[in-house]
Amino acid sequence: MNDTRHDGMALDRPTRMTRGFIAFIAAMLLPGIFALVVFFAAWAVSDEVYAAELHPDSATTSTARAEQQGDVAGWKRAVVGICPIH
Amino acid sequence: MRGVFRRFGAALEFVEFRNLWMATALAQAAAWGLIVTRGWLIYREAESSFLVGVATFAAMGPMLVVPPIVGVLADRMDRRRILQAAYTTELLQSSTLVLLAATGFLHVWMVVVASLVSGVARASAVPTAQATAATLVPADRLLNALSLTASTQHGSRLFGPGLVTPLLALSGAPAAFGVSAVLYGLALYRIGKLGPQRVEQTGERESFFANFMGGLAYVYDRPVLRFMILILVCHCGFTMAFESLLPGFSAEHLNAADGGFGVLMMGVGSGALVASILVSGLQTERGRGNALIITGVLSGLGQVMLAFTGTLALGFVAAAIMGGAQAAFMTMGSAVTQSIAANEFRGRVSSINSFSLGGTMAMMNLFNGSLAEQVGSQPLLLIQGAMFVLVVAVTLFPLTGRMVYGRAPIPQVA
Repeated sequence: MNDTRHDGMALDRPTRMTRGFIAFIAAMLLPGIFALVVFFAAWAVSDEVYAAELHPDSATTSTARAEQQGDVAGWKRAVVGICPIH
Repeated sequence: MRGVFRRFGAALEFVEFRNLWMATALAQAAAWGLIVTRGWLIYREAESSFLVGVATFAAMGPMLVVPPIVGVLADRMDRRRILQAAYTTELLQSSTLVLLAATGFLHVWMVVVASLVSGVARASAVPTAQATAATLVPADRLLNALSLTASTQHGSRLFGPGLVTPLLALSGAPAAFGVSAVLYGLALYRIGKLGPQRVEQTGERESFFANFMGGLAYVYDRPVLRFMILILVCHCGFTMAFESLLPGFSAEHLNAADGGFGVLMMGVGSGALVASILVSGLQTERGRGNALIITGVLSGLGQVMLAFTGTLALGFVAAAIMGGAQAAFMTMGSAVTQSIAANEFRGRVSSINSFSLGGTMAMMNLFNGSLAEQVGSQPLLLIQGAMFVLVVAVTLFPLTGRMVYGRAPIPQVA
């Protein structure tokens, strides 16, 4: 049943690690790896970020609010901000 | 009537494919039934949308991790065994949920663990089933076979939840989990009727990593295959990463904060179901090439139209056009890649597709979600839709592009 149409433009030589091949691998793999890193990083730091976001409500002055928000690094806030499920 | 079946259900004439198709349809319906039941149960028990999100992520996350591993296995082992293992796992986890829910021992963390187990099994079954389908029908029925498989994926989103939702209201989670378990049992039975699907290896047996890299090199060395996959990556990035944009868009532009997102998603889903059935009737390469161009353009234009709509009804229509064109384009693109790939590489080609396309969508959803807060969702829908129309226009000119779109023959080798 398997009558594959072989691509006659296929190269005969073994694949070498050219810049083109590396760029192709990056295009195929990096988006998924990046998304996974963001998902897991957001998972790891979300509690800390949520806790910091809840505290300012109880703070009465803007100075106190800023101090409490400053407890959490900016990258943690950014990671949780861009993750769609956090 | 017979003529209609011969045209739209041509691949179902092959008994082996029919068994695989029915198993896939049953398992997909079971999976969507589980997703709805788990969400309902967790929200009722914990009243936490976050935990529902965690369970959904546990079920969907493996789609990014598992396919590269399973793709290599699917090119080494009997593919039927992988499908049997996946459906057995699904049957066991859903049966366990039935027992735990019926006896009152089910806790939220157990549901999350079951979601993860189910996600791994599903991520193993989907690319394996796709690679298997390509070997069960002749090349001229492959588009029909993949379109029928795609239509089950879209149809199951209606059928699975449609089965469990009344049960949830009437008798609660155990019966709904039970329906999924029965569907998985039937899928396993159907896969048992499939003959062995061993893959003949022509080269030396290599390490796992070398096998995976061999799959990437295989795609890279075939210009038509590489070109098609890169177009599909652009398609996923520019037109299919809309989930993070639609909630904001429906609230800001359609004045439908409550339920607007759901209506738009229903539009996308119903368009996808109709289009994947229509595409299954395409019979010639030229016809498929023309349809690939038209649906590629419509996929981008549908998103542009959606960006300009101001009412929920028009938004539904634009979403249906967009969803239909996207589903048809992806199905035909998969048919091109699977028909070009040699059988011993199909598992890996399928998994590279899953990983790169899923990864691109996930990354673009992250990008869109964060950028929409700065610039709004409308410009992003508009610009990205127009960008993909441009991609289709530009890729029509090179020789490889003309081959992909059926404008030039793909050279054959002995």
